[in-house]
Amino acid sequence: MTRLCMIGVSHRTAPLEIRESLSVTGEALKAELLRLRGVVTEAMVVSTCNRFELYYAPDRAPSPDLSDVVEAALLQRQPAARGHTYRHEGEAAVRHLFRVASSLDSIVVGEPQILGQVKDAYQAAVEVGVVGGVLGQTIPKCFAVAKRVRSETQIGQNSASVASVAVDLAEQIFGALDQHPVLIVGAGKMAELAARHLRQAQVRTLYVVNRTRSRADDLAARLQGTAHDWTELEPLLSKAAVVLCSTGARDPVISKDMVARAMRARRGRWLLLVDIAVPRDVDPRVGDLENVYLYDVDALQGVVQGHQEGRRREAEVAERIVDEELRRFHQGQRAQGVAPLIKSLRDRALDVAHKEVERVLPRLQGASERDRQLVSQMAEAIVNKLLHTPQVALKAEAQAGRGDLAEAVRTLFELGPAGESGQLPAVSTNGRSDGAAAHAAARGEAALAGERRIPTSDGLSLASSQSKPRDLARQGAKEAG
Amino acid sequence: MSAGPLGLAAAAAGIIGAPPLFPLTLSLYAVSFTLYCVALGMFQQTPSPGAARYARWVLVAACLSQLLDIGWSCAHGRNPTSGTREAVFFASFMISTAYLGLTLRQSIPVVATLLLPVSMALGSVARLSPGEIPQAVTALRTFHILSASLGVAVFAVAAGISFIYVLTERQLKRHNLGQIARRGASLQTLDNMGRRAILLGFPIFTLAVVSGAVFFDRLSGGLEHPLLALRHPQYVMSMVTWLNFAVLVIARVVGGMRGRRAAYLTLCGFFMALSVLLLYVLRGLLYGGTPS
Repeated sequence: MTRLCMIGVSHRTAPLEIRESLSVTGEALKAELLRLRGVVTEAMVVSTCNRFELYYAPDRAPSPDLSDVVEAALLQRQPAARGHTYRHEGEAAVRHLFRVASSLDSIVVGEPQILGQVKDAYQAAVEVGVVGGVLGQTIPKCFAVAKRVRSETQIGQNSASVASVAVDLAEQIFGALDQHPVLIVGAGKMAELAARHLRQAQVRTLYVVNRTRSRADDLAARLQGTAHDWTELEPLLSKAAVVLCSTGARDPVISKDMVARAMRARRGRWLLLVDIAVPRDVDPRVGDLENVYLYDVDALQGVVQGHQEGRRREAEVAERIVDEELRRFHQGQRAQGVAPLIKSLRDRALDVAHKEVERVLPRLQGASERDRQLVSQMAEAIVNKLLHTPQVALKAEAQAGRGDLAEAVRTLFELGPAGESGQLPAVSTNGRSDGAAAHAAARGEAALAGERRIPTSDGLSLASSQSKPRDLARQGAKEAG
Repeated sequence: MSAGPLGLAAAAAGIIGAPPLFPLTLSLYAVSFTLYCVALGMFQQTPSPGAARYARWVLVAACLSQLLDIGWSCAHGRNPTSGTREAVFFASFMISTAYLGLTLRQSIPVVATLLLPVSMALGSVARLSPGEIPQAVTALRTFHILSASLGVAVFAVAAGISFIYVLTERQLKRHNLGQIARRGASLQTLDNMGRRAILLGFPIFTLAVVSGAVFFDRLSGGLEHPLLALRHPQYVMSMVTWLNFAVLVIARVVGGMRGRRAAYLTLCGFFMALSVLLLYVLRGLLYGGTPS
C-alpha cells in the first residue's frame, strides 16, 4: 500500500483570497519545500491559481497526528486557511493526484495547463532533493495517466471559455492569425482576456479604441497594441479581421451601415465580430451581411455550454481510465512489495547451492575446470527451476492483494522481514529511488547475517537465522508502521 | 498467355476490359479514403492528424497504379482519347492528381473524403460500362479530350472545396460549430484554394472548348453554320459552363468576389461540366461512340 499523502486547499474548498495568500512560485516554492523537509520525508507542492496542495510521504505510517503537524507547517503562512483544507492518504491520495493531473478536478474540466503546472512542481521538488521512492514512482505515473486521458478522450478538444471560443472562431475563419489585425472596442475585462488569448495565438497587430483615450492607452500598453481615437473606429473596421467589443454603451456603437461600408472597403474579406457586451455593442443585423460573422454573448455561451457538455461526457470516460490506471498502479505496488522477499528467497537458495558445490567440488578428483563449471551451473539451474513456480505464485498473490503465501514463504525458509515498497532513505539527492533496492537488500542481508549452520544427515548443512522468522516479521511490520 | 495469377488477371481483364491493376487501384483508393477518415476522427474518439500523411502517400500510390492502368490500356489500343469510357477513367485519375497538386502546401482531409469516392465511382463506372468502338485519333481530338478531362477534374476539386466551404460557412453563420467546422480547413484557406483551382482549370477548359469548336468545324467540313452546333446539347452545355466560369473568374479577379457566392458559382459550374461529361457518356452508350 502506498504511503503517499496529500493535504491542500482548492477552488472547491477555499475562496480566492485564501488561495492567493498561499500561492508560491519559483524560488519561493523551493524555499517552501526546504522548510517542509524538516517535517516530511518527501514533498511536492502544486501551487496554481485554483489550488495549493502538498503531496508528501512520511517516513512512518500516516496518522492523524502527523497530518495535523504537516497541516500546521503547510499553513504557517496563512493560518486562516485552516478549516478549508482537505486530506487524502494512500489510494485516495493517488486517485486525487491522477484526477488533478488529468484536469478532472479543474474548474474547466480538460484544461491543458494543469499538467504542465504539476510537472513544474515535480521538477522543483527534484531540484530541491525532496523526491524519494514514493513520489518518484507515483508522480511519473500520474503524467502517464494524464497523457492517456488526453489521447483517449476528447476532454480537452473544444474550448470551454468565452475567450478561448473567440480564438477558435477566429482560427476557423482565418486559419493562422499572425497576418490578421485585431480591433478591441472598449476596455472591458472580457475583451482584454480574449485579446490575451489571441496574442497567445500569434496575433501581431492589435488596435484599441475607447471613448476615453487614456483607458485605450492603458489597455494598449498592457496588450502591446496601439491606441486610437474613437473617431477612427470605422476606418479601423476595414483594417481589422477580428473585432472584440466590450464597451459599457447602452446602444450599439457599431451599426449595420458602418459594417457594410467597411466590407466594401475590405472588398468582402471576412470579418469576425465578437460582441461580449451587455447591452450589445453591435447591431444584430450585422450578422446578415455576407462574409461577416457576429457572435454575441448568448451565441458564445451556447458554444461554450455545448463544449462543456461534451467535456462532461468525456470526463466520465476519463474517470474510468483513472480507475483502471489506479488498479494497475496498486497491483504494481503490491508486486513490487514482494520483490525483496523473492530476492531473499533466491539469494538464500543460491547461497545454499553455491556452498554445497564448493563443499563437493574438492571431492571430485580429476574433474576438469569445465566439469566444475557444469556442476555449478547444474546447481543454479536446479534452484531456478525449483523457485520459478513459487516466484510466479508470490507475484500473483501480491497483485491480488493477499499476503498469506508471502508469510508462509518467510516461515518456511526462515527469511527476514522483506522490504516493502515505500520504505526508503529520507532524502534522495538525485531524486531517484535508487535507495529502495539498496535498502531492501541491506535489510535482506541483515536478516541473513544471523544465520548459522545446521548439520544434516548427509553432511551437508542448511542455514537458519538466529532470530525466529516470526519475530523478524513482526519487527519489520512495526518499523514499516 | 501464362496460367499464373498474372495470366489469370490478364485473362479476366481481357474479358471485362479492365486493366489488371484496377482492383489494386480501387483498393488503394479505399485505404486512402479510410485513412483520411481516421485523420478526421470519423471512426474514433479523437482525430489523428498523422494519419493524413499516410493517406496522402497511399493516394499517391493509387494514382501511380491508375497511371500504369492507363498505360496498359494505351498499349492495348485504348488511350484516353479513343472513347468516352477511357476519357472518364482518365478524368477520375486527373481528379486525384489535381487534388494532390493543389494541396501540396496544405492538405485538406475533409475535401479528400469528398473527392476520393467521386474518383472511385467515376473509375468504376468507366470500367464497368460497355466497350466502345475506338475512334480515330487525331492530334486535335486528343488535345480536346485531354484538356476537357483535365479541366473537369480541376473543377471537380474546386467543387469539392466549395462544398466544404458552404457547409462550414453555414455552421459558423448559425453559431453551430459542428464537425465540419471543427475538422475542416479555415474558410479563408478553402476560399483561396478554390480560387487557385478555378484560375488553373478555366484556361484549360477554355482550350478544351476552343479545340472542341475547331474539331466540330472540321468534322462538318466547314459546311455547317457554327450556330447549328446548338442542336447538340453537349455543345450548348459546354458553352454555358464556360460562360459560368468566365463570370466567376472575372468576378473573383476583378470584382474581388469571395466566400459563399463564389462557392455557389463554382458548384453550379461544376455540375454543368459534369452534365457535359454525362451527355458524352450517354451519346457513347446510344451511338456506340461514333463521332457526332
